[in-house]
Amino acid sequence: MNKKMQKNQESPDIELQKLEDYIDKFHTKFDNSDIIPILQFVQDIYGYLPCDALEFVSKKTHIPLSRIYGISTFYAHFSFVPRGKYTIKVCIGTACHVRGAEKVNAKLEELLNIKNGETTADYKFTLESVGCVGTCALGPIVVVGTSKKSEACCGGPLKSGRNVSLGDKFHGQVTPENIEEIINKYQGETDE
Amino acid sequence: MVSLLIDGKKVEAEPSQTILQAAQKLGIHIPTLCHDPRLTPSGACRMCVVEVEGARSLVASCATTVSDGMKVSTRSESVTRARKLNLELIWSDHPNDCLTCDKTGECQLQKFMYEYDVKTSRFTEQNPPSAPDDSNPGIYRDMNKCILCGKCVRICDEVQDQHIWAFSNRGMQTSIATAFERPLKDSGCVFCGHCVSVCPVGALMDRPSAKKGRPWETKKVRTVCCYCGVGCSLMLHVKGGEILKVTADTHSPPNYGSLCVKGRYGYEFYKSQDRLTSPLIRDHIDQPFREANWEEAISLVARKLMEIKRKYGPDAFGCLSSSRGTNEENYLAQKFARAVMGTNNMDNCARVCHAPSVTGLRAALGSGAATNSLADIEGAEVLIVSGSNTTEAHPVAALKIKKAVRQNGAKLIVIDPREIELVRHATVWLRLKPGTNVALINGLLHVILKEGLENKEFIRQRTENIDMLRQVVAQYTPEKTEEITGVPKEDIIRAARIYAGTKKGMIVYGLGMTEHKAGSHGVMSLANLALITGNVGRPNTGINPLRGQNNVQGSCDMGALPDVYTCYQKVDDPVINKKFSEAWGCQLPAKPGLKEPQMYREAQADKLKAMYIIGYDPAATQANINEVKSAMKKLDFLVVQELFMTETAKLAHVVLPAGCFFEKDGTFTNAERRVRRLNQAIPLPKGTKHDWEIICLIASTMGYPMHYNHPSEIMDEIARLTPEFAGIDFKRLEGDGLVWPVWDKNHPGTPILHKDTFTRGKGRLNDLLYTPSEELPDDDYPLYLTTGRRLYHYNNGSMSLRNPEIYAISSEEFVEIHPDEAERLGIQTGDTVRVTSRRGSLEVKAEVTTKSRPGSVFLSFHFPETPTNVLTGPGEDLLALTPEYKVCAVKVEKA
Ligand code: SF4
Ligand code: SF4
Ligand code: SF4
Ligand code: FES
Ligand code: FES
Repeated sequence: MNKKMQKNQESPDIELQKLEDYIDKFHTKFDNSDIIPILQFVQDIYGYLPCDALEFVSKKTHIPLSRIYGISTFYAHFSFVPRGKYTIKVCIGTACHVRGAEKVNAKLEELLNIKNGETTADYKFTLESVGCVGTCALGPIVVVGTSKKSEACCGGPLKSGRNVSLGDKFHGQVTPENIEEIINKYQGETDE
Repeated sequence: MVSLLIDGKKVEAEPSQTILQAAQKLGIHIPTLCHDPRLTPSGACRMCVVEVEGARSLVASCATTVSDGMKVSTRSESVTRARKLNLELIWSDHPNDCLTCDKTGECQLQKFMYEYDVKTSRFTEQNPPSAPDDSNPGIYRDMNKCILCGKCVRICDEVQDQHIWAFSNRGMQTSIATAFERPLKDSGCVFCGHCVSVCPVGALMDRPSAKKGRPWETKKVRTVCCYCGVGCSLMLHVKGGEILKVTADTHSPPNYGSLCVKGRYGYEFYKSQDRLTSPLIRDHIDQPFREANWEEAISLVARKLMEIKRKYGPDAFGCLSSSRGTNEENYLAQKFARAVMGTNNMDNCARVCHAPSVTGLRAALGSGAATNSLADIEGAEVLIVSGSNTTEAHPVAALKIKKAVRQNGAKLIVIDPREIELVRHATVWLRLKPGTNVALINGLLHVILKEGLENKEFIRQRTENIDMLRQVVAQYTPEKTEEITGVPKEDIIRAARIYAGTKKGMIVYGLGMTEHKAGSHGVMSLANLALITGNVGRPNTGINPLRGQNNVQGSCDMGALPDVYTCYQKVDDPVINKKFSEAWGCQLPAKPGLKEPQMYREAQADKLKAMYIIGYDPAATQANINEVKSAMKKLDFLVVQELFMTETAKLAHVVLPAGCFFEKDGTFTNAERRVRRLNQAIPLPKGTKHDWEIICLIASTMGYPMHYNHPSEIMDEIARLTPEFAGIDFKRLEGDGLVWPVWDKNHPGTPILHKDTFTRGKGRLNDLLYTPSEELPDDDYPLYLTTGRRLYHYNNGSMSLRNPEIYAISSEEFVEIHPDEAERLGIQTGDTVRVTSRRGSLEVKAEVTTKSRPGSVFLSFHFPETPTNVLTGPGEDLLALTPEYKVCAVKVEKA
């Protein structure tokens, strides 16, 4: 079983009205090609794919839940666990590693009071590690994603940052000392 | 037709056929892992690659169609190399576990590794370990053994239409999963086991047979499933007197490899610890039973029955047989009642289900049986499914209905108050008020006749009484019909036009038609529909009752009814009576006997003194069982033949332990009139006897010698006395059986009845007025109660509840109630509620669901803890006396 779907079951109560309106704007007969745009919408409005929302989609569209699930798992882009508003990705590629990425990660865990892979209780941050993002010279690197589609860029090495989603910000030469300041900047931002 | 060369041999094929199919024609074997003739090709496994001259690369023969002049090589060097490589790749990610795997010997991967001499894989140093998961009922999984052929996904999608499995993740992580990896039970799985049946490796297997034996150690015995009227052909895998698993032969009708959960996993009850294994006797029913030997028990029964016959006359006795019994047993039961006891007080449990079909269809067409075969469903253009929750009660027939709709574009008209699963596939759903069938069908007839859509030619040549019918249905305008039935008039008009607009219209119906005060009338009404549109007597047409237990058709055919001998030969017809009297060597009574409900009334009135009940549990399954039980308690003598201590057996003076259908030789007749062999697969448990042997012993002890060496001799006797069975004997029944009538030893059988003329000559259009149900909701009892079956269980549950796998899926009853009522009553799913009728009361958990029609609740009758029939009511079919299980009035409160 893939790690990312282990929890997911107890999704918080979610508002389905927006989703219903969206689906109603589609047609009445749905097929597989409709799944991805709908999933995209779900991830955009909830920040992840809540189980209840997918069940709702299945009921409304008559597309089997198993198929929706299959497609959701196919694209690394979709996530089944609630994610923070910002995803902090600590590069653990070889170059960053030798330059002390581990310490940066430890400091982040301490600051945010979560383990790598987890999300803060206020859903502000999700902390992750990522393989080499291609800017080794500036390592250690921390990428902070403001976009919900954060996972899209951490599937593997990126070439010249081409695939980085809009809103992802690179921070170079990060140290346990200066990371706090960086995080505080995001911390201070008010919700829109 | 195109012509091509395969391995140098010439073959002709349809352009739509694949290279694989063409090769099979030539007997050339091509290995496949992801192919199944029932499924659309996926080309996933690449095992079936062949070389086509001129093609740039090897092609998958299962997914490539033939073309003219093609030159194919199935065994060239590059083909072999590709297959070997393929196997190596698969093996690199597969547990090296053949030594302890249950699939060994049947596994396709193993077979091809052997054939291609692939010993191991270059691509891995260490095979992954096996990862057994036996947390699901029925289905054992080991996803490390999965080779991702996708057959389970496709068969669940395409054949079962349940869509449980999906490919999850991608790349090396890909696996087969349910949505969110939920347990099968919570994912919508119906445990049909189709996925297990197609898995080429040991990734999906039957859980109960795990670690019990390898394929070559088991004996395969063909028999027939007894759980419903589809009568699926089963293959039992037996080792050391134990059934290890059940599969189905993909070539054998009517199920062609499909089964439902009961057929697949309902095979363990026979070894339940509480099987009856000794005759039990007592003098009074307030005493405890004591074990007796067979001699003592049989002579007690014989003595008592003779005493009662002498003292009160033959009609003080009544016999009930069961549709669980074979044809041979039912035949002997009625012979016993008539020849030995001298009474026609003979009935069987069809009385509580399809007796109105016999009455209704005989009145309309002359024969009380389905007109067409189940296979015809798939080719119909329009299907009316009325009063049949087919997906639960006759699951394999439902697969054919879904196939007709999903793959062949048939239009489906569902007539049912409940939102049954088939509604999802319906073109029109007529959600009528319970009990208003006749009015609704009159409404349909009205539209057809008014719009001139009837088949005038057919009506003139082959039917009678059209004028009276016209007069009666004239008043059932769509408006009036809507008023009575609650079905919007637009839908009535639409449905009528759809059905009248086809030459391939087929009606399939169930107990929702028959178990009403106007049950027989409902059946006749459906026959009217078929007759005025000429949808009878051809393939993909007709009117077809889905029988409840497998042998409902057979038990009636065998004359286990109060007024007829075998195949509906009348007891009061002097010629027939003489024929049977001579054959059985005694003067037979000519007066038709009592129907089952009349027997209880006569018992209450102290006129009926003794009953002999074989394999039937009316104290649980008759309507208003408190009445039935009090009648039974008044009997001087009650003999019950059973597998388990049922509610009826608890009221007996003598209980005789008998064999179950896995332990029997004999025949069953399914809903399409197919007579088929049961083959004994396992020995009778010690201390039990076959039902037919027991009947013979009692008869002989009573001075009427009854002796047969084997059930086949009973069938020979039936054939001698029954024109429709004249051509039937056990030898001819081997294989897929025969569909009666079989007029002589060379006759092939008759899948379609009434081709050129009806059994009764002309088809009769019965002009019928709508009769409301006996007990309608009122202020005190404001809700309709309808009862029926659930997928997982059978009858009183005495067999199905004793199967551990099935019990793990479904072990208790829920009353289905609509959210509107639930809200009003403050009831939520899971709450315990009290359901009360004028006759009784019970507590049960609630399930709040829109499946129920507002104003109606639903209960099944499978669970002894929820004795639904304390509630059911006074209504009876006007003609056949079948209880009106589908309508009575109840109230529901929070307990
Ligand atoms: S048992 Fe039947 S319903 Fe369940 S997953 Fe397998 S094929 Fe699908
Ligand atoms: S579980 Fe079996 S049938 Fe399903 S994909 Fe895997 S190997 Fe094929
Ligand atoms: S219960 Fe009916 S559908 Fe299920 S396997 Fe038996 S005969 Fe077939
Ligand atoms: S190792 Fe961190 S950017 Fe390359
Ligand atoms: S059998 Fe043809 S690709 Fe699998």
